[in-house]
Amino acid sequence: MSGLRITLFLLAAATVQALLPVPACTGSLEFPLLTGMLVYLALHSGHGQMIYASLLAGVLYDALSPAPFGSGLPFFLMIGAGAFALRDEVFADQLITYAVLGLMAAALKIAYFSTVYLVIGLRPVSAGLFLVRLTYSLLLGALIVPAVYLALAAVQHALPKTRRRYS
Amino acid sequence: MVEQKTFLKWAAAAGVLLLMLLLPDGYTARLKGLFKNTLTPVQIVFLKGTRSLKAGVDTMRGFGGMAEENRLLKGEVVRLQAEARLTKTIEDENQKLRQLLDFHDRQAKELIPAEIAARSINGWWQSVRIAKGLRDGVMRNRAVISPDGLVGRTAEVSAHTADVLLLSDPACKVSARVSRTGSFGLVTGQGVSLKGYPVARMRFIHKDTPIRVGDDVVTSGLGGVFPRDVLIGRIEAIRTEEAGLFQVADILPQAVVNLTDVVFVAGEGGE
Repeated sequence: MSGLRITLFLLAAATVQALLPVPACTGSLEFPLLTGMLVYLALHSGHGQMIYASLLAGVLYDALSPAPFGSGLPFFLMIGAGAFALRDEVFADQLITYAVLGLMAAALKIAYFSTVYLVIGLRPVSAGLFLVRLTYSLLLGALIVPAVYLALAAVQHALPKTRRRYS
Repeated sequence: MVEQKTFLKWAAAAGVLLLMLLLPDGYTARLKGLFKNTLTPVQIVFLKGTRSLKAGVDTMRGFGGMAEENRLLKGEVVRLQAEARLTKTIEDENQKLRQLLDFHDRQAKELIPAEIAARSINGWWQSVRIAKGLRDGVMRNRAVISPDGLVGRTAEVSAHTADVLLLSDPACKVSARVSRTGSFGLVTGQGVSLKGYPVARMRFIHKDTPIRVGDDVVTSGLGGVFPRDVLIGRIEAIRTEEAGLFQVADILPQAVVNLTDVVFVAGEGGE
């Protein structure tokens, strides 16, 4: 996948994620579009592109929120590297694969941000809120990441294919 | 060779991460501003499209034109409320000025209307982004109000956008006064309840002050950020702190509950 395509996909995901309402019943969790996009890109790109996608996703996430710059980037690097490392083990490019990866990414996300914000002292994190967020995060991860995969697969299918020329 | 390339790529990624973490605040704000200024116009187009679609549906249902009229009337209400507050404040302050020559006027004189362009991409923060920034006269740490009262304050401001920290965000702190009794306290955001209501809490209310559920809480004007007498919300519940020295009141921030697509930023009068 080209760098331009990765950039456009991630920009679109960040734009839409910042527009979608945050359901209060989930503990004000955002829809993990950027995470889902990164999982897809990590499974369908080379090593360098995966690192670029992770960096861009992290920078976008930090830039579009009041959180300190750089606080979210390690999470996206972990997600990108994790999905990339698992891709040889991933049995097939199917919905269930993305649902499982979504669950794992969601659990990591809640654990990571709860720890970071608690350690920095930026957000109060109670045990009850943590459990609510973890539960709904797993649910959102299992639903949204496969949905992002379906949407991206459709877009990729519609876009013209780049062909390599051999001399 | 392949391993060396992989190592170099990860080293570059680590370098970017370190750079981001160690970047001075000024550069961070500029970099964030760059992304926000780029994406906000796209988000506004999205939002306008959604609103047009909604207006179209409303028109088909027979409510055509009401949405626009409602928006205009809300703007008018804010302006009239600001004028009424200003008049009252001027009366009070005139008397005080006679006694206190170095009095500092904290009342907002200019209100900059701004459209909400997006919310925070990160659900941990209670904030929205408005499509007005430094170029439009919006400054950092300015009060943001709506027809229902105080919405919050501006936090990060770029050339064309500004992040508004909502009253319900734990980082938003407002010096407040119970309107009926005149007792002072500090309002701090408590996030959003699982039922979906934003929550704020007023602390340090003197234990002997007879406050009641339903009392209005307004800004005190102390601190210089928020203009005086802007409604924050109504008291929902009262209890005494463990030490027994102060009362604590849970407040429903009305303006955050009824947050519309247009808010007003205090242009002058802040610090």
